[in-house]
Amino acid sequence: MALTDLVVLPDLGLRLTRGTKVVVPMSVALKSRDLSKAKVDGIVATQTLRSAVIRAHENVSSDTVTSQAPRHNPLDLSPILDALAVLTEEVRGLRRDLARAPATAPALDLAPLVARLQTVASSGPVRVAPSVALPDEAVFIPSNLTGGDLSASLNVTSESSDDPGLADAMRALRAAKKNR
Amino acid sequence: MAKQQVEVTPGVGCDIGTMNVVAARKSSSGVETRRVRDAFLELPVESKKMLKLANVSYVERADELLILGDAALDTANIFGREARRPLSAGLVSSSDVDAMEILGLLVKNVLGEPKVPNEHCYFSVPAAPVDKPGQDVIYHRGVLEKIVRECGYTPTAGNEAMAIVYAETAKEGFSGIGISFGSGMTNIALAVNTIEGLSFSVGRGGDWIDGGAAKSIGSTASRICAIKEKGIDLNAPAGREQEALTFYYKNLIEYSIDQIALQFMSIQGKFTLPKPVPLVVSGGTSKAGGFLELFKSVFDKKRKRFPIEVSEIRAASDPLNAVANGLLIQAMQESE
Repeated sequence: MALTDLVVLPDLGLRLTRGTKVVVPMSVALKSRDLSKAKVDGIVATQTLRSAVIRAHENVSSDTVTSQAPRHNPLDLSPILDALAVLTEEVRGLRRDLARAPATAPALDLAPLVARLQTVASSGPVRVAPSVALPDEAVFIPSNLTGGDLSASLNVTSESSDDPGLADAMRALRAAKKNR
Repeated sequence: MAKQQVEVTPGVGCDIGTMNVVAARKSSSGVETRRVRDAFLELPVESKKMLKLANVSYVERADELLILGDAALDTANIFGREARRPLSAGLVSSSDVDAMEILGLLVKNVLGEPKVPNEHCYFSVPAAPVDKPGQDVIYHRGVLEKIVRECGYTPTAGNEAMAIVYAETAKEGFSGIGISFGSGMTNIALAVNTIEGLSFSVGRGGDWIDGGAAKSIGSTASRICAIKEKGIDLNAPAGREQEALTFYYKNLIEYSIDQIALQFMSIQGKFTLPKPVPLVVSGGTSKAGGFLELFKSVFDKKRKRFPIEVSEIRAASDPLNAVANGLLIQAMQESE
């Protein structure tokens, strides 16, 4: 929606007067540099709709747009924003890992990250859901944690005890499992 | 030439705590434990000469030197610095990759090479803290699992407090309440015949005691920790520092007992205890002089309202190694 008297978005072929609302496909909107700049300048306001009828390059009245958009069921972008925040942290972690990894370090497994990026990119806006649980395997855990470019031989305190309880405990455990 | 037969009992238990990393293995005579302090210190490269003169081992990184394990604490005192710990409040931080790498090195040194390919290793994992909503142990477990696997072992996560039940309640058929009073947190589990009925942790432990006591008398946590480690009798504290420590110890015990009662009530009806069970206290924090007596006196005041019938309260036979020993029992059983 245009917030000033006249907004021109050349790469979308749009000239909007104040208050005019236009619906453009997400893929087109994301590629538009003029729209992006206009958002930064604060001369347009955008809202993401999931299943609204798309009328690109067509000026419509605000009433018409309102009637096409779902009236009830407000959109909640927080899950996707949360996912993006996680991805950003993962990418930062990967960069740190790559920066420190020695030349001989095994290649990082980017497949889960790529798969997750694709999922997030193709899912579009997400409606309000009871909860969003990230799958365990998507959590970033760096590789080569036991060496990398570091190696050390530490002074480890070693003790030996003639603990007879171990054999008894093993026998008791076998018996307990049998009786269950 | 006669072949020498080497007796190998596969399986290793590894307790990865905020203060120590301990590995336990069966040896021909009993149990062999290996321990290292879970701590590190970063120093500028200019300190290299001094460290060499002092015969302190270090790891060289691009722009700094790292001192790991027990040497980190000793050197920190010399430099008037605080040693860092890879675990914070019992858990790894997802944003601290350095700490994870250091933890990996410590675990690798303590575990050593597997005795057989893909040897089973049970490593300790705390339960999610009940007093820190939203904090889970999923990431922590994932990191430790990866570290142990990278060391060449087949990793299995084992609950810290359940390990105490395995180590200390064999004569009761692995039924009892295990409490691990650690540095970062306190872990609690209740089991009947090896079946876990309840497990949780509270985000208070030795560090909480040090911090609280220090704040109450305007001191520092390290100073209070030093007083504590020098030896203290909780039933006869001498001076305001020891009195402050005793106050916080007592508070931690009361809090833990109250939480056990509260958590047990939430499963009452779903889990039955056929007979009274023992309560075993363990962990580094429980090593303070007079801890068991203090625990018993606090418990006695709450016994009437405590929903579990307790047959006996006792200290673990080896409080610093009980978790590793309990994990070893599980690892050996896995290998059978």
